[in-house]
Amino acid sequence: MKTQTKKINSRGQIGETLTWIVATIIIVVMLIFFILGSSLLSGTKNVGDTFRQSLTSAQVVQGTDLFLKKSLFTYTSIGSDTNKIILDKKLSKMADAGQFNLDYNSTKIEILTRYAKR
Amino acid sequence: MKINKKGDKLLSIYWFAILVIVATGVVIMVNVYYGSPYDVRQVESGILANHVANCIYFGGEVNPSLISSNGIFKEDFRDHFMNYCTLNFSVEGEFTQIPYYLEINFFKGIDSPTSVFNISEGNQNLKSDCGVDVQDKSKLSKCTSNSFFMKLNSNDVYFVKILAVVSKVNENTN
Repeated sequence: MKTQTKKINSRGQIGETLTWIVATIIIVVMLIFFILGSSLLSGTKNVGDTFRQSLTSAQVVQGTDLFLKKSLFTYTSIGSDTNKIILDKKLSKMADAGQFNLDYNSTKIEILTRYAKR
Repeated sequence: MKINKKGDKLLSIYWFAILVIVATGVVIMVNVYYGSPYDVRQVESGILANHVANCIYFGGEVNPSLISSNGIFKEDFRDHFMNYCTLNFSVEGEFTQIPYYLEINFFKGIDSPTSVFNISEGNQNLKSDCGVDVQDKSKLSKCTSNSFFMKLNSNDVYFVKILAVVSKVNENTN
């Protein structure tokens, strides 16, 4: 009986030890996985036009374009109609080339409305 | 009973070891993630360009120190541009290069190809980094090129082109 009890006990111990070893290996592998993940996510983080586009896209943030607004202010204050047409064409061309951060037509309407109010 | 006590001790040591491993892992992860710098040069050059644009043309009014009433650009503005626009490019250290470059070109009319007046300040060598077509641009200076139209009281329209370059490679990259 004594020998039987000993055998059962050692089997149990081996089983339990194996469980802990496997558990340790899983923990270490997961840690390595997370460390690799964080190093992949880090790198140098560029803060600019491409920084977290989901947060800074035009759908989420209105944004601004100082240069477009300055140009449009000039457009509204020009006296000559010929110059206005030429400037409008030039600005449209620049907008088509993607030089502005805001939508050209809607910003133009906004500035014209503001200027008209004054 | 004796055997059980030994097992408990062993298990405590094991748990402590696991705790240390996990804590070390967390520390490594945080260090790896937050240890790398943020590259803010593109934003910095944009802010610099905005500042210069506001210095030249603000609220529909051209800076009176830039152009005289009869439409002549003042050399004094070019000579003391940094003071007029409250800019300071000075760096610490004797052999440290200035990490900024600014270039402003004024074109008379809406479609004129030739510049009638220009201002440049800072380290001119940085300009060569702009427009370089390479895959890894992290070690190059960041450039921002913007332009706008301004109108004088005389109804003359000028096209203003601003180029702002920020180097600071070591401070912003790994």
